[in-house]
Amino acid sequence: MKHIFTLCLFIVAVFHVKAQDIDSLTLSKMKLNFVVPDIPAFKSVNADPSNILRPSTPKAFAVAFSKFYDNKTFVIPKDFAMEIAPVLLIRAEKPVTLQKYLKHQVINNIRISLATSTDTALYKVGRSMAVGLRVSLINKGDLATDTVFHHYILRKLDQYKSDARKVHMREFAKDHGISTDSVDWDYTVISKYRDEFAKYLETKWSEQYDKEIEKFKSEYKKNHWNAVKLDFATSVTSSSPDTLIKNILFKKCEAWMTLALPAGKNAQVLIGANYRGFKNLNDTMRTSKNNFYSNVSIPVRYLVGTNRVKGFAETQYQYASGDQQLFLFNMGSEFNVYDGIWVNLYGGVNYNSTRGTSTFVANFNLKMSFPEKFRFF
Amino acid sequence: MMKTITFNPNGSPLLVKAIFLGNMNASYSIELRQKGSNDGTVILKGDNTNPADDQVTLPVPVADNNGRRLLLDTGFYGLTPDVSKNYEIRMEVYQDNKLLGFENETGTFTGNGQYSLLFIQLISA
Repeated sequence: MKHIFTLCLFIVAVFHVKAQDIDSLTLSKMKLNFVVPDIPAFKSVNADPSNILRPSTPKAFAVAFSKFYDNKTFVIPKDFAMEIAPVLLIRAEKPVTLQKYLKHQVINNIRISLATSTDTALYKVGRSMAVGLRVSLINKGDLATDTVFHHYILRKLDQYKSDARKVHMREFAKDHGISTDSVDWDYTVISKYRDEFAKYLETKWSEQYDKEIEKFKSEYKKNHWNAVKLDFATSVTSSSPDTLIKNILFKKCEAWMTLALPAGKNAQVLIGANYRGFKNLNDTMRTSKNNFYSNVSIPVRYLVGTNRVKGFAETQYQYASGDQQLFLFNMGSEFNVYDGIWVNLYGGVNYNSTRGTSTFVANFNLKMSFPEKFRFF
Repeated sequence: MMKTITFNPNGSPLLVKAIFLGNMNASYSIELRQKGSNDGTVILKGDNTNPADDQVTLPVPVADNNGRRLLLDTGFYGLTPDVSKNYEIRMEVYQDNKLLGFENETGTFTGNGQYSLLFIQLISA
């Protein structure tokens, strides 16, 4: 156990030093999606030994797949999950004022997830299906809701608006043979050439402000990737011996609470709590088949890195049914291989202090969300 | 044709509201242009962070506003164009607590700074 701890500390230290080098290389390519979120329903159907659910910036739509690697070979993933933020999707069509948007941030970021995976507990071709719900109660470090960013943009817009009327519209009018001495000449420009003038102005905006704003965003992301966040999530999982809905049986319910705190510029600490209530579907004894069991976990994860490469070390205490006490020591890394695509690798040891046994755990998965500039409609 | 709104010269002072729908930052000014001229005065300047102050009462006597034009000049930026794609910018004119009419512009956020200019001509009944 001591050796594993030493190894974990060494890897985290290496990542900490490496992160500072990588940072300067990746800044130009930083995107808003710091990481694809853990999806509650997916977490629930997968046998992940870590019970931490990472908080993250809400996305309108996210998907996840695993397992790509099974029994020492790459396989087509059978496990799939999707998460949507319904209010964000509705508001894509029906806009509201900025004030309303900011006032209802918690409602805006409610996310519903669905996941399905193979489940051989009951039968060889069995399936698990889960429904999850997540809400971000605290979500610092989101550009869209940060008033510092708003004031920065408003200052730029004030200048842009002034230039648009006083300089660019006059130039445009001259180029199109409209006299700026005529009464309401600007109305003539807008009514006749609205789209053409908008395109003309867009090039002016790009020339004057794009570089500056991108720089501001990059700095912002560099400084806020590990900002304070608090997420609550819950899920219900069912199991079926086949693919028929009528045969599904309640398997378990879960709840997570995770607090993310910054630890300096390049690190983050996640403190979680997880409750799991479940039934043993393999138990056919009349006296015990309806028994309900409970597990409670307290995981703590230390993450270090940049927007695109992160390493982590984790420890977790679990009080499991049957008065068992389990400890997990885990470490791994996350790589943003492409815009919206993350590869996660981890390995560790699960130690049951009641029985005095330990097991090794490892996983490899791929998470995807739509790229930052992707448009749905 | 420029949007025209007819008002009662003997009614209460005219009130103009600027409304910005969509997840955006907007910096705006409302200008009142003199009859038959390009000379005008900026009567309100602000942003959309507090909708309560995005309104202004026009000068009195009310009848003097005949033939004047209102201009809502806006620079705006969509904050989440990937999920909140549509916007609407409106200029509304009220008298005696009643909406007399409005002019608006709708569209989609481009992910860059955008510009809108709305006109309303005021006509005395």
